[in-house]
Amino acid sequence: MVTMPPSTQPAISIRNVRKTFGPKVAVTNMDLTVDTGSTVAFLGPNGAGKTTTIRMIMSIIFPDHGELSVLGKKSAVESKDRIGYLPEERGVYKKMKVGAFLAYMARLKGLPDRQIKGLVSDWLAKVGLSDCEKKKCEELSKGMQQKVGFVAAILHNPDLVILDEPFSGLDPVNASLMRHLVDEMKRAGKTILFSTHVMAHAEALCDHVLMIHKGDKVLDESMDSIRSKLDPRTVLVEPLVKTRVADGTVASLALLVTAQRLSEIRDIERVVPSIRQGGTLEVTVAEGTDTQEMMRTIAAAVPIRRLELRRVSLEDIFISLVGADGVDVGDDEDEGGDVREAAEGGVKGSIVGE
Amino acid sequence: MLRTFHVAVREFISTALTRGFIFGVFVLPVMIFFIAIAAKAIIGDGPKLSGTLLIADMTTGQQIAPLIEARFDPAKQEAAAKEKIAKARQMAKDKVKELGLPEEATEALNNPMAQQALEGAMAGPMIIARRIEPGADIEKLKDSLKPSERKSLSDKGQSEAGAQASPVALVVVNDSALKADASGQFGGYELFTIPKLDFQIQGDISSTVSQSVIDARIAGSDLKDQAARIRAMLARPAADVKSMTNEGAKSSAGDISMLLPVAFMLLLWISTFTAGQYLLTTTIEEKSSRVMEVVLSAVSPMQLMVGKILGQMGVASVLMLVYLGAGVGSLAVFSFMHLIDPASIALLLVYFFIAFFLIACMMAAIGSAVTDLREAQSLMTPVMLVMFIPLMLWMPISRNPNGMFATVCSFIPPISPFVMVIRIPAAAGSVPVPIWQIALSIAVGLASVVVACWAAAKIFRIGVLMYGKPPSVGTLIKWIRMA
Repeated sequence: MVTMPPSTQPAISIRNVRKTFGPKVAVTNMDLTVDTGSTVAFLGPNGAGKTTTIRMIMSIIFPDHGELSVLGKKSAVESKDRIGYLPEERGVYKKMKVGAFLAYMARLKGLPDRQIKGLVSDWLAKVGLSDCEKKKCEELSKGMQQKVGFVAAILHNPDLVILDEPFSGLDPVNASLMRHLVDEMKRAGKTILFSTHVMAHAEALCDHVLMIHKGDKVLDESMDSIRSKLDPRTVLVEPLVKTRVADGTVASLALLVTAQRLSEIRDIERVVPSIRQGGTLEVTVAEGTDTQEMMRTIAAAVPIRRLELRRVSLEDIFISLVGADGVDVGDDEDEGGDVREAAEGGVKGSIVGE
Repeated sequence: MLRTFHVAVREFISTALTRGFIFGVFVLPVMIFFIAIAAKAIIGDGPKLSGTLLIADMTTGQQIAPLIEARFDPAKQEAAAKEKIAKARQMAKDKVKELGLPEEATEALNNPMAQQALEGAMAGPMIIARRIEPGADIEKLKDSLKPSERKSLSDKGQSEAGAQASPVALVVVNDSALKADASGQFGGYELFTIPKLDFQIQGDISSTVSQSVIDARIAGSDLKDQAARIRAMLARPAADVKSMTNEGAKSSAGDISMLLPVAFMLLLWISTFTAGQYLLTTTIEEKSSRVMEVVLSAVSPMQLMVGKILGQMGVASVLMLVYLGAGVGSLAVFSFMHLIDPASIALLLVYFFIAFFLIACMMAAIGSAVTDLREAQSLMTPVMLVMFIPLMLWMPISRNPNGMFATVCSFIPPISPFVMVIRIPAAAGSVPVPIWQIALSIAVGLASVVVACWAAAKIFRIGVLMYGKPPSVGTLIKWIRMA
C-alpha cells in the first residue's frame, strides 16, 4: 500500500454550499472540512442531506451556490481517478460477469489494461469471491453483490474514499470483513468519509464525526473531544439481590425497592430500572453534581454487585441531537443548541420494563 | 475521450453480442427467406387439385365437347408442365452464366427440396373433362357439386382414383353460344363449380371453355379457313416497356423502383429505432438496477450519455450495413443496380446519422427520466406519434416527391431525414430533388442534432439520479431550462 504524502491541504472542503430540489431545501449553507488522512463518520437521520452532500462532493449533482474543493481541485470530475466512491444506491450490471464488471469499472477509472486482470482476481480473493469471477452478477446473492460493489469502488487504490452506508445489508461476518478493509485503508493513510446508521461502526472506525440534520451541520468534532466534552451523568447500578433469577417477580420487586431508595437521594434526577439487562438501574445524576461523590453515596445507600459510570455512546449523541425531532418532520425548532438540554428531552420518559 | 470509448464499447458489446440480437439481425431475415420459399411451394401446391369437369353440351351436333376434351387431355397437360419446369431450369442456368457464377450454383436446383418447390410451382392442376350424355339430368349433376354430396362420396371410402373422378365443375353450353342472334350477338354459357374453387383453376376452366366456344364459332362460320389468322389477330398485344435512363434504354422495373423509396425509409426507420429502443432499455436498466451511480462515480453523466449513444450508433450501423448490403446485393443479383444512384446511398448514410442522433437523444432523455419501461410508454407516445408520420405518408410523398407537402416535411426536424430518403429515390427518375433542399435539410438536421444533444444532456444529468414519480413532458422541459 502506498502511504499518502503528508499534506496540510484538506481532502474535502465545502464552503457555504446550498442545494434545493424545487421547494425542498436539501442542504442549507453547509461548511465542512475533511482533513487529509482522517477517517470521518458522516451521520444524520434519514433525509438529513447526507447523500445529497456526498453527491455534490462527487460532482454528480451541483450546488445552487457555494464552493467545493476535492483533493485540491474545484470539482471531483478532475480527480475522479483518485476517489473511490461507493454510492448508497449501488447495483451491478446484472447480465455482466463479475470479473468483466470489475474490469470495466477499473478501465473507467483509468487503470491500464495489463494491471486489471491481476487486480480483479486479487480483490475477489480478498473478499472471498474468487469462484465467482466467471459468474453473472445476477447469480450472486444480495450480500455478494454488495461486496462486488465495494470492490468496484476501491479497487483502483484511491486516496480519498467516500462510502455511503457501506455496511448496510451485510451479515455480521461480511460487515466485519468490510470494516477490516476500511481499517486497512485507514492505516494506509487514506482519507475516508463514510456515512452510516450503525453508531458502533462509526465509533469503532472514525476519529472525527460530522453530523447533519435537516440540511444543517449540527456536530463537527473529533471523537476524542466529543467524549471529553460530554461528561457522563449516568451511573449503572446492579443491586445485590439474593433471590434473583429464581423468581422474576421477586427480583423485579427488589429492583423497584432499590430504585425507590435511590430516588430519595438528593441530586439524583431519575432512576430507570431495566430488568432486561440482568436487573440494572440507570441512575441519572443532576447536572453539576460530582459523579465520583455520587457513586460513593450510592454504594453506601444500597447493596450493590456492580457500579459503573456509563460512557456516552455516539448513539446517545445522535439521539440527543436529532432526538424525537428526527421522527417528527414538522418541527422547525433550532437543533444547534445545547447538547445536554436536548439529551434530556430525548431520553425523557423512557421507562424500560419487560 | 478514453472513458467515453470504454462506455461505448460496453454498450455495443452488451447489446450486439447477445444471442437475441444476433438472432434478430441475421437469423430472422434468413428464416423469413426460407419461410417465403416454403410458402411459395405450399401455394404452388394449392391449386394442384384434380377432378372432373362435366360438360353438358346442348349444342346441335355437340361441337363443343370434343374441343374442350382435347384441351384437357391429361397427356398434354403433363407435357406442358414438364416443359415449364425445363424452361425455368434453363432460365436459372442462363442467369448463373450471365452473372459469372460457378457452374455448381445450378446444382442447387437438383436438390430434392428445390425440385419439389419447382414442380409445385410449375405443375398445374389435373382436370379431366368428361362429356355428359345428352338427356342426362342437369339438376342432379348440379347437386353433385354440393359439399354434402361430395362428402358422402368420400365417406363411401372412395380412393384417390375416385377423388379424381369427383366432379369439380359443370359447364352447360347452349346453342345460343354458337349461333348469333338477329343483332349479331353471341350468347354465353353457364359454369357451375364447387364452392370455393380456387380462382386460378376456375380461371383456367373458363378461359379454356371460352377458347373452345370461340373455336367452335369460327369453325361453324364461313371464315373457318381463316381460323389461324383470326386467332392471331385476337391475341392481346404484349407491351415491351423500357425506361430511358442516362445509360440508355433499360427494362422497366416499375414495381421495384416504386418500392425503393419506402425500402430506404424503412431501412432508416428500423435501424435507428431498433438501436434507439436498445438505448432506452439499457438506460432504464442501469437506473432500475441502481448501477447508474456506481458508473457515475467514474465518469460524468455527459461522458456516459455520449458513450452510450456512440455504442448504440455502432449497433444501428451494423443493422444498417447488414440490411443495406443485403438489399443492394439482391438488387445486383437481379441486375437492378442501375436503379440505385451511389449518391443516394451516400445521402442515405448522411440522413442515417442525423436520424440516429435525433432519436438516440430522445431515447436517452426519456430513458434517464423514468425508472421502468412502463413509465417510459407515456413519454414515448408523443415521440411515436410524430415518428409514424413518414410511415403513414410515404405513399403521397413518394408519388409526388417535389410537392408542397413533401417539401415542407423535409425541413421539420424529427421526420425530415425520413422524408428526404423517400423523396430522393422517388424523384430520381423524374425531376431530382433540388440541391438546395438537400443542403438545407441536412443543415436543419445537423442544427436539430445539436439542440437535441444539448437538451438530452440536461435532462440526462438531472434524470439519471431521479427516482420516484415519473416526470411529465412539462417537467422535462423544466429540466432543460434549468441551468
